[in-house]
Amino acid sequence: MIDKKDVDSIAKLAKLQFSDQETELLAKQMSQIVTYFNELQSVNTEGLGELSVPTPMDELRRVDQAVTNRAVERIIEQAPNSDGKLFKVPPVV
Amino acid sequence: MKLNLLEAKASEIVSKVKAQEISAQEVLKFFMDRSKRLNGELNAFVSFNENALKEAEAIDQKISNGEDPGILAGLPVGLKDLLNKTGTKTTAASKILENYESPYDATAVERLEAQGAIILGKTNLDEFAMGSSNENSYFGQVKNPWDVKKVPGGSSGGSAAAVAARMVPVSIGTDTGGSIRQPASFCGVVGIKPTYGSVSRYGVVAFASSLDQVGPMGTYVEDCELVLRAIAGHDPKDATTAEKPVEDYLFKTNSLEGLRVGLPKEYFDESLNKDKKQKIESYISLLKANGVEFIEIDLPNLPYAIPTYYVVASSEASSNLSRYDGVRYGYRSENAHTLQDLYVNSRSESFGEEVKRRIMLGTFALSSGYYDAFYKKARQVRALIQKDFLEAFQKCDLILSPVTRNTAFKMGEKIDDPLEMYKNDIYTISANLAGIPGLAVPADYDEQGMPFGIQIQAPHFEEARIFCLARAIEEVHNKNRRTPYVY
Repeated sequence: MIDKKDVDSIAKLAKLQFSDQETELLAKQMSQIVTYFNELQSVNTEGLGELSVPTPMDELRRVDQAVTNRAVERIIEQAPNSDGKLFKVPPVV
Repeated sequence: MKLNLLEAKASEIVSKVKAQEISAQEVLKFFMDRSKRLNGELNAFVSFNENALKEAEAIDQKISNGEDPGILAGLPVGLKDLLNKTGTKTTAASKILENYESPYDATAVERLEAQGAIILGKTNLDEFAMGSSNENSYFGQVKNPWDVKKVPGGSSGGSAAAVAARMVPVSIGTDTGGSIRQPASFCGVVGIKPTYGSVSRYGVVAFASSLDQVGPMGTYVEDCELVLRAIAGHDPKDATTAEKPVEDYLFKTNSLEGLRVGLPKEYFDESLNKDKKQKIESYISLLKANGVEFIEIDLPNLPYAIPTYYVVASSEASSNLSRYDGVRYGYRSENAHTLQDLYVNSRSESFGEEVKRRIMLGTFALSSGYYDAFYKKARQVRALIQKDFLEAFQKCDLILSPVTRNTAFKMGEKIDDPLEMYKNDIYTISANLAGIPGLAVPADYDEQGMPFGIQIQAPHFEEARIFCLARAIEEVHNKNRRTPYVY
């Protein structure tokens, strides 16, 4: 059901890369799993809404107030490559 | 009376610390020494909190000054390495976060520490909490303290093993599809996944945001109640937390008399291990004698819970994990000459096999042409599964069931068959889909002496009811309680 070509195009969307051997194994495993997912098609869901959040929730509001986040410097320190407050990356094109 | 730290309840440790009969530092030293000694064999901890002793000293100081040290004063806690605590790394057991220093505290950690708890160390897990055996950790397999050839369960396998081996009296886990309850059952400890929206996820590495919950694991039911009291409640930093006061649902007292407990026939079919079934039934007989009424209930959409869960969880994971791109934090590939290469190589070189598989499945389910057939469909079936539970709770107050079909399996037994591994979660994932609370309490042992638990589920925010029945089961189990191999 999912062949090596499909794995390649999904990998492109997921920003992942696989060796030939990994691609072959993934095609096999994903086919099995997606076949299993297909069991859902037999459930009648006509006219049913989708459940996204499982607990009834009120719309939460708060005062729109600026707060200082003291972790900013520690967060920027984690960058693999930075220049001041900028993240450095290889050329985009 | 002298305090036996290998058996003491969390509340006993706290009250002796408060009474200055033992210092927080002595308690910490005992558990830290034990943890470091046993960790070589069990691998339950990824790292230890180097400031723990100083933090314990501060608690002792507070007590000497006559200040209130909190309801968890001096209690050492194992923290799943998915929660940020400043001064420690938060790795999610992944190469991609191997060197990630927590920049701030998760709200759950802040609340634990505000009540005097000491984070002893960060516990091992399946990478990004994806797994049921702990075989997916970048930092190696956690061993089951009852039999080191067996898995501790997952993904909170380190948190469960650490409590089972009494490396800590309590720990914190997270549960997206059973990741607290299944390892609790495999390791013979108590663990609760609270109602979705009970505990803040701020500062917790995200896996599947409509399913993830943080919860406590402990030796005794009471330990979990105590820790849950400290961490539950609305947090302005997590908009999914309910504004309901914690007192409304945790402090209610319930009695067994007249309690109606549902037994879903789908949970007790021929796929359940016979010996286990028999042992769970003997609990049912005992509880009946104590005034509990049992009712057979139907959850007709339960057979669809696994495909529903794996579509929803993988889709959300593929989206959540897109943030790991090698730009702002985490692993960055050395072999990238363009931005595109940087994304692809950083991710491909540092995510593990199972994480990649889930990202691929989720990307597929969300992709154009398949979205309606998989993601949308799964969210509709999810609504049906929740409806089954809500209807069942019209007839009963609680649902009792096994936690898993079998006890802990051997390492390597299922690792090559991901679908078989996924099917392992059949009894636990529906609570996450429905958002309801579920607890695993130790019940008995199989022929090989491996522990297993009973699961209790309740309607949203009815944790107090769960604790009531769990205490009754625990009281029976205490007469037959054993200690694991590592003791």
